[in-house]
Amino acid sequence: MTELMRDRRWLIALCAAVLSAVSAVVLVGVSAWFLGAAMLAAAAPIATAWSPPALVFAIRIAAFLRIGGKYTERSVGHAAALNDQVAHRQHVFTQMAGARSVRVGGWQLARADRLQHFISDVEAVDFERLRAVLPLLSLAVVGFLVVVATVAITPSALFPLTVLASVAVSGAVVLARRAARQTERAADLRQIFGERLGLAHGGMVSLQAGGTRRRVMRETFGAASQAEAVHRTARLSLHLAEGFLAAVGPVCALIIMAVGVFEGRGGAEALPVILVAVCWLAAAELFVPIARIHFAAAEGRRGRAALDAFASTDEKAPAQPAPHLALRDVPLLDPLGKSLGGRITFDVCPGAPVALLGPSGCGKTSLLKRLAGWQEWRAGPHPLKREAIARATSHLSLHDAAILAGSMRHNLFSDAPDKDLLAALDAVELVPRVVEVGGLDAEIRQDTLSLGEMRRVALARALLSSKELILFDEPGEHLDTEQAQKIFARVLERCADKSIVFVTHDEALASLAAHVVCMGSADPSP
Amino acid sequence: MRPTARMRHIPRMMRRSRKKPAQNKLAPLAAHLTPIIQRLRRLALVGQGTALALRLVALIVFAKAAGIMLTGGAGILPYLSFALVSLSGAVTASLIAARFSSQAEQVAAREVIGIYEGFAARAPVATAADMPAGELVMRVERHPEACASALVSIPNAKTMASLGALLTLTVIACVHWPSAIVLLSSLPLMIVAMIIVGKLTKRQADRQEEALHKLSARFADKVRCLPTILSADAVARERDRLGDDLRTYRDRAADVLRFAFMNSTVLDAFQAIGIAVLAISTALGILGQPTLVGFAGIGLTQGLIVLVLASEVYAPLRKYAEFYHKMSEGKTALEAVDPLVEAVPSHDARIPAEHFALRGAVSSIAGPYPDITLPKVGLVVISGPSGCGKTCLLRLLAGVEPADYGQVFRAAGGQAWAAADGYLGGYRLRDVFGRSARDRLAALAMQSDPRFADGGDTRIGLGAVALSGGQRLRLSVGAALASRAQTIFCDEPTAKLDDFGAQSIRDLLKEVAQERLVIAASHDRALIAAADVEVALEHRERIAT
Repeated sequence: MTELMRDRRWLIALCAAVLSAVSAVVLVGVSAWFLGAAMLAAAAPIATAWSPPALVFAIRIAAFLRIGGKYTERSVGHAAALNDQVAHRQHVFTQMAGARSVRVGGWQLARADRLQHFISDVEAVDFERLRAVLPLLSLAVVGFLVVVATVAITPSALFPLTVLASVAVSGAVVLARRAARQTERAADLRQIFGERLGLAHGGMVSLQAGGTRRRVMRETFGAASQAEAVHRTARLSLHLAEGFLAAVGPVCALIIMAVGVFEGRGGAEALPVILVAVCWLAAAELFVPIARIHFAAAEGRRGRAALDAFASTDEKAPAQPAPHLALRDVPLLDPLGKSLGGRITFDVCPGAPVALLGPSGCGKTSLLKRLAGWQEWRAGPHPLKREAIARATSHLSLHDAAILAGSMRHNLFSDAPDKDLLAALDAVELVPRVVEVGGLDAEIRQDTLSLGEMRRVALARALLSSKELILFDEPGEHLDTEQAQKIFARVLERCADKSIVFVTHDEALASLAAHVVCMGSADPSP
Repeated sequence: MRPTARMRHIPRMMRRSRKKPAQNKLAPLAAHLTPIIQRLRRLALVGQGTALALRLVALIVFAKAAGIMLTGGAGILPYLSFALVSLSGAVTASLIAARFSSQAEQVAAREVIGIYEGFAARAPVATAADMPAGELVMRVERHPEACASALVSIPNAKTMASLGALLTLTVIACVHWPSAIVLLSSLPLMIVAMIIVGKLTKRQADRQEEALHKLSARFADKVRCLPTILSADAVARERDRLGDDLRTYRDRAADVLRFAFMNSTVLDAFQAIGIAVLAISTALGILGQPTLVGFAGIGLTQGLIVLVLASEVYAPLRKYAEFYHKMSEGKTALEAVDPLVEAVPSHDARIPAEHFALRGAVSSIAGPYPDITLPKVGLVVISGPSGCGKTCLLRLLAGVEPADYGQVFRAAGGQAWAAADGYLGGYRLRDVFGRSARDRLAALAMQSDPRFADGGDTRIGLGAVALSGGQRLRLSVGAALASRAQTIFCDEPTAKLDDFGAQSIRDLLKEVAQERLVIAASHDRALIAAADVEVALEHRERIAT
C-alpha cells in the first residue's frame, strides 16, 4: 500500500480511479437533484439556494471527469502495471536462477507445460494491483461518500442497509473464495494434465508401437476435462456472486425510499432522500466487481506463494584461485542423497586432470555436481569450504547443455574478442558449422544443432570460461570415439593450467587424464 | 438417365466448394455442435432477455415512485414492493441464464477437448508429435474455453446488445419519444466511433501479440536453459537481455492499451454525455426554458424514467464491448481447432504385406527402403551409419509412421516397443514384471542397484524421471520383454549402457528371440554379430531437412 503511494504512476492511476468513480455517482445524483429541484421550482416559484446554470455546469464537469478519469485510470494503471512487470520478471528470473531446485537434478521448468503455469502465476501477481487494489480503493472512497450522505439525510436507513450490504458482500466473498479454491484445484489438475501429456507426447512412438496410445491419451485428457469442469464451476460461482452484488445498489435505493416514506417525507423534503437513493443506484456499478476483486487478490496470493518456491537461496561468495582438492573416502550418493554404497579417494590439482571412470548409475555425475556446489555435499565440509564458493570457483560443463535462441556469440557466454571465440570453436571443430549457419552473429536455436554439436558448444564454453576448476560431465557424449578423443585432448591441452575433473564411461577418453579413478560397478555381480 | 443426374450434381458441388472457404471457416467444429448446445444457448438468451425486461420494469416503477414522492403523493409502498419483486425476478432470471449458458459452454468445451484427444490419440504420430508438447498443453488449456465462448456467450452477447438497446429505446420512446430520439441519434455515431477505434486497436493488438509471443518464447527459452546459464555463470547477462525484451513488449502493450481503452472511453463518453444532455434538457424543460425541441412540458416522472433508463441503453453495448478481446481469441481458437478434426484418419492406411515383410516401401522422411523378409521368430538387427534411417525403418515396421508407398507387414500377436525415450512409469515393478520381478531385474543387471532395492514393490514414478537414461532403457526393454507381445521393437537397446549392462541386454534379447520376433535398430557391433538377420542400410543424404 505504501509502495503504491510512492510510485507516481500508481498514484495518478489511483487518483483518476477515485475521481472517475466519484464523478459517476455525482453525475447521476446531481442530475436527479436537478430534475427534482426543477420540478419543485416549477410547481412553486420560490427563491431557492441553487441556480440552474451552476447545476448544468456541475453535470457537465461530472460527465467529463467520469470519462477522463476512467481513461486515465485505465491507461496509466496498465502502464504502471507493465512497468512493474519488467522489474518483477527480471527479479523472478534472477531469483529462479539462484534457487536450489534448478541445480539439483530434474529441472522441472524445462518443460513447457510447467512454464505456462509459472507465467500465469507471474501474471496473477503482476496484475493484482490493477485488478484488486485499485478498484477496491475507489470502491472504498465512493462507498464512504455514499454512506456519509446516507447518514446525513436518512440515518434510520443505515441499519437495514448495513445488514443488507454485509450479507450480500460476505456472501459474495464466500463465493469468490470458493471460486479461488476451485481455480486452484483446476490449476492443479491442469498441471497433472500437462505433466502427463508431456510424458505421453514424448513417448508417443512407444505408445503407438505398443498399442496403448488411445488408452493413455484417454486417461490424460480425462484430467483436462475435469479441470475444465472445475474451472467452469468456479466461473459460475463468480457469476452468482456478481448477480447478487448487482442487486445490492437498487435494493439499497428501494430501502432508502421506503424509509423516506415511513418518515413521511414528501415534496421538497423528499428531494434529498431521492438524491441518496439515486446515488446508491449509481454506485451499484461499483459493487459488482467486489467478487472479482476478491478473486484477483486470492489469485495474486496464490501466484506469490507458487513463486516463493523459487526464492533464491544463493549467497555471494568469492572465487578461489586454481584449487588443490584432496578428496578422502567420499561416499557416493544418488541425486536424492541416498547412498550408492561406494567410497572414493583422489586429489585434484592444476595441470593434472582427473578422470572418474565408471558404469552408468554409479553416482559419477552426482559427485561432479556435488563438487561443483550444485548438490549438497553431505559428507562433512565441502572440499572448497562451502557450496557457494564451489559454485563461484567452478565451471560445470553439463552433458545435456542447452542452446539458447540467439547467436552463437551469445551462446558462448563470453566477452572475449572474436579471435578467441573462433579459436575455441576451432578446437572443438565447430568453425565450418558456424560458417554454414552464417557466422558468429547468425541466429541459432536448439534444433539448429545436432546433439554432438551441442556437446561441442558446451566444450567451447568451458574453454572460454575464466573459472579455475572445470568439471566435465561425459565430455564425449554424442560424439564418436575418435572425434571425442581428438577434441577432448585439445581441450585438456588448452586448459593445462586449470584444475580439471571429468566423468566418463569411455576408457579411451579416461586415458587422456593424468589420473584415472575407477568407481567400480554399481552391480558387483560377476 | 443416370449420367444426367450425375451431371446435374457436379456443378452444385462445385458451387458449394467454391463458396465454402469464404462462407464457413468453422465448418468442422460447427458440425460437432449438437442441438443440445443450441437449445441451451437459446434458453440462456431467453433468460437474459427476461432479466433485462424485469430490470427495466423495476427501474420504471422506482422512477414512478420517486415522482409520486416528490409531488407529495401517497401510496408509494406498493410501487416499491413491486420494484423489489421485479428486481428479484431479474436477478433470478439472470442467474438461471448464467447456468444455461455455462452448461452450453461446458458441452462445447468438452467437444473441443474431445477433438484434441482425438488428435493426440489417433492422428499420425509424425503429425501429432510435430506439435510441441508445450503448445498442445497450452491449446488444451485455452481453446476449449475460447471456442465455447465463441459458440455460446459471444453470439448471445451480440444478440443482447442489439435487443437490449432496442427494447430499452422502445420503452423510453413510449414514455417520452424526444428522449428516445436523442439517445437513438447517438447510437450510429457511437457505433462508427467504436468501429474506427476497433480497427486501430486490432492493428496494434496484432503487433502486441507478436511481441508477447516473442517475449514468452524468449523467457521460456531462458528458463529452459537455466542450468546451462548457471553453469556458465551468465545469469546477470541473461537478466539484462530479458530486460530489453520486456521493455520492448511493455511499449507495444502500452500502445495497444491506449487504443483499446479508447474503445470503452467512447462508450463511457456517450453514456455520460447522453445522461448529462437528457438531465439538463429535461430539467430546463420542466423549468420552462427548453433547449431541445420536444422537452417543453415534460413531466417529472417521465424525466426520471428517462434518466434512469438512459444508461441501460448503453449497458448491453458495453457488455458486448467487453467481449471484444474474447471475440478475436475465440475466432483464432476455432480456426486453430478445425484442421485437427481433419488430421485424424478414419482408418489404418497400411496395406498389409502378405508375409512378415516390407515390399517397395518409401518413407516421406527417409526415402525408399530395400525389400525385407523377416523370420517369424529371431533377432533382426537394422544396422547402418548415423542418419541412414534405422529408426525410421523401425517405426515404419512398427506402424508408427505410415509408408508413402509400398506394403508393410502388420505384426500379429501384439507388439511392444522399447527405447530410452519410451513412455514408462506410474506403476510398481510387480505390475509389469510380475512375481519374478527380482529375476527380471537380475537379467537386466539391475538387481543390486539400491534404487530397485524393494524389488517388485519398487514404485516407478510416471515418466521415471528419477532414473538415468541407461536405467530407463533397461526398464523399458524389461517391460517389453515381460509383455506377451509376439513382436518386440527395440530402438538402440544397448546405447547409454556400459559393457556389462549392454552384454546382459544382448543376452536377454537373444534368449527372447528364440520364441518371438525381436527387431532392433542398433549400431552396436556385438548385437549385430548376434543377429539372426541383419538389415544393413547404407548411408544416404537426408531428403527432408
